[in-house]
Amino acid sequence: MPACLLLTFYLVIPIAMLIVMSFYRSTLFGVVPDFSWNNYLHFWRNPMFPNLLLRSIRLAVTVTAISLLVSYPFAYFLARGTRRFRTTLLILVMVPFWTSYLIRTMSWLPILGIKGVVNYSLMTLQIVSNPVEVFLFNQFSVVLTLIHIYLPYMVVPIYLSLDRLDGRLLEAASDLRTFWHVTLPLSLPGVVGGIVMVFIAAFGAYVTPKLLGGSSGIMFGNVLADQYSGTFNWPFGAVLALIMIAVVLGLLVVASRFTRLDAVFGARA
Amino acid sequence: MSREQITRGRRDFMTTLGRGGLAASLMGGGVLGAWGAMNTALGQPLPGPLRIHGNPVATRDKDMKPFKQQYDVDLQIQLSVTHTETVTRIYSGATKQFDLFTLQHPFIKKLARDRMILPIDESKIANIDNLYDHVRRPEWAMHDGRLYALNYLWGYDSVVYNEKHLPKVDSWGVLFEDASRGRVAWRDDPLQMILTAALYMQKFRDPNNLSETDLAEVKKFLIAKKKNIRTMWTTYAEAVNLLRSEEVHALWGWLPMATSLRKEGLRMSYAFPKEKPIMWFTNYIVSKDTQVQPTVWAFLNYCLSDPFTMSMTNDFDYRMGSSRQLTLLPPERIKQIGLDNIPELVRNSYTYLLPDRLDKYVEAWAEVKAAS
Amino acid sequence: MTDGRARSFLRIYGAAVYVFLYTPIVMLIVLSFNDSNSITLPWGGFTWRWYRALAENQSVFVSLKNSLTLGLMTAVISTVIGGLAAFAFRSRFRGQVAVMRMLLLPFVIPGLTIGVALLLLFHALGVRPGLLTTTLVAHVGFTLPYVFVLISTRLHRFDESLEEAAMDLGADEITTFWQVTFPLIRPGIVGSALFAFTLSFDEFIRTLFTIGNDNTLPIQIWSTLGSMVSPELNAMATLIVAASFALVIAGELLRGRER
Repeated sequence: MPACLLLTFYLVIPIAMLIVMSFYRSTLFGVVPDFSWNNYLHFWRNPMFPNLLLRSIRLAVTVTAISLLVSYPFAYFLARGTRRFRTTLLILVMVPFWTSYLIRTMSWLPILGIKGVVNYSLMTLQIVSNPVEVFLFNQFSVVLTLIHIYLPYMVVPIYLSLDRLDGRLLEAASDLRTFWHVTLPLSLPGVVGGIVMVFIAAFGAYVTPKLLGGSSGIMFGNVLADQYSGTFNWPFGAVLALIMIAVVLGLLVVASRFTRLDAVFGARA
Repeated sequence: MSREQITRGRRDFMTTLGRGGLAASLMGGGVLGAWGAMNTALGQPLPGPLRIHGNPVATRDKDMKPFKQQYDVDLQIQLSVTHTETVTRIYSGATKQFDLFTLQHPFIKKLARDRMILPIDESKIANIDNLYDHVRRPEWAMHDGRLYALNYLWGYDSVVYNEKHLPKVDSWGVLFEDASRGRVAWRDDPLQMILTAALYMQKFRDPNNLSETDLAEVKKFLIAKKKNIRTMWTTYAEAVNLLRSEEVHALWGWLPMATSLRKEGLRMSYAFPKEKPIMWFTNYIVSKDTQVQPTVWAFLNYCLSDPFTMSMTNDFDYRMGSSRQLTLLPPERIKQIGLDNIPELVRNSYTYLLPDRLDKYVEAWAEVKAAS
Repeated sequence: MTDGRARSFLRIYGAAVYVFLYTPIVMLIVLSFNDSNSITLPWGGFTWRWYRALAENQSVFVSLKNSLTLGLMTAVISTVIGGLAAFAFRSRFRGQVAVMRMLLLPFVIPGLTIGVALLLLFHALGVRPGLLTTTLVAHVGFTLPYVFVLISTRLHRFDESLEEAAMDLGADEITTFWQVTFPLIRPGIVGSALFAFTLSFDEFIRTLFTIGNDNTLPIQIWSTLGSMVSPELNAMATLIVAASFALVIAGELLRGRER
């Protein structure tokens, strides 16, 4: 089977990377390959690391939940559109992400800042008399932006699984019972796929918190990134990466108890 | 002498002749006029392409074109993002991909010791004595008595502030004091901010190398003062935007930020903190695996030449490597850029270096950011 | 809720989400005409100067070309491999679950870690980094799990009876695939390819460590905005949006004519 061959070839990459990481995993300081558990202990010795881990998980859950609520109806809307426009509408969802991430993110300042459009409107409408600082450089702007960035990650899989369904089923959206008992379960693969993708992405996000998080814009991904970009402490970085991977894999295992994830990805029951 | 040496010797001779022509023509025409003269005086192509891992500010198309035209050599420029990324790549084979790297001063010695870079061949760079005294043979670039980095840009970091909202600032304190509540921003960088706080606190013998207890004290200070800032910036553009939109009135920043905002009519000022601003030097280093040495020396020479120097000075107010700035600029500009008393400037600035335990600084900074 | 009301609710909702998606885009387009050295409000007046500056900036267009090439190749290769993999999973084979876990692994590994790990790996193997070699590998590597997930959700409980019927009627495997299977999964393929392209086009950190001498657009933008302000980059972003819209409209017009 050609697919199997390709898969075997491709598997070399993740395995090789794991090997490289574990080779450096327990060294003392970057250059000396020496076996020691110091780096692992270090993670527990400083309460900041476990705290940030939890914080990031909480953030990821929040972003994923809101994203799901926002995206599902939108994917439904896309799937219901006349066949002719569907691809176009889908492309239009992607186009904003063909502009550079950094420029897009910086564009939130003139929108949410104290001299930004939102504050300007609020003041003109006399809802507030002074600019409000609360829209930017805090958890709110981080969550908002993460939802924005990862919207396609949730919309596209749900759309793909809805799009497959019979048109009449989708038309019957107004019949809530049909929706709840038939349509929703049939779209579950897409929902699960979307949840997995958004969660993992949001969990590892570090650039957005850094740019929009204000004075506390730090997540677990940031301390990981610091080990490579702020200093040369790769071994500790490897430890942090492995911990992240372990957390996500752990959550996936737990999730598959409840939802038969494997079945979602095509493996025959 | 081998044929190659003869050819090189001839090229050097022609180059020197050409430089004489340049010097002569500088008396008359402007920048373009000088280059026009260059083109006719020379015409010797150099081996290429020259591959540079560089800083976008110093490798703008408009500044690179004259060099490319004069020597008829192709330049391949990749833009660097952070210094740690550059160093990581150098140790992972990038010496075979590039001829020149841009790097700041603290990293030079280690690269020289590890033989990843070549010493600068001073005899091949006619303009080398254009360098300011304090960057001609600086301690951080010397190894085994040889010069390993060519400086092309230097300066100090301090506070950029809006005179419309703040009276004259002469201390780092504006970034920390409660009076500034909500209207200042820090830079999101462990080393620079910890160093700044340490300098401000004025009680540490060696802020570049804080002990664990001292580091803990600085960390506590930063956490306590965090409530006074609006945000932290990562990229230059963010900092400028923050000031322009008046989201903040003062921030830890660089001179060109003030310059570009002043050009728009804002009253931006650049402080000279009494606790000492932080001095840095940006340089070119030569890859050990370069195959185009003549081109490398020609390029480095160009970076110390007048057209390049003046182009950068006029657009950014930068302090360049070439001391010809002092000759070519009018006195008011010299004063404005802060070149009027360089020994005093250097004496009153604090050159930053990498601490032995950089990872501890990085971790402390993460704790500062994580504290609520 | 009546069907009519559900319909209009969905339409209004859809429009609202598009507004949300495009809010920063509209802002960046507006700012590209702003006569100010900074990329933010207040408004300094209307100007074309950033577009003029962009026209003189050769290196940005080279980076754009690199990003486009890389993105298209990544999309194609990733979709093909991911699609084949998703198909392979339709029938049982030994070690299936393990292979699936391996396939999803790149999802989970943070980009920076992979970037550095690949850098070291290529260095150890003596492979010279390059745009269409090492960087392509990195990009295909990280988009593959996404493509696999997307196409898999599409194939889920795929009704094979149509395929069986076609084969009973005498069609061979290839014809069956093209005439029966492919049209049914085409939106999945198209959607995944689009997704892979989008991921690759805006990818920064993995590119940074695996690239050779070239710049991609994200690298150029991050580096430039780290040292200076450059509103011409907003002009570039605006042009990208405009070009995409033009392509979409052109596609629509062409398709209209086909009917």
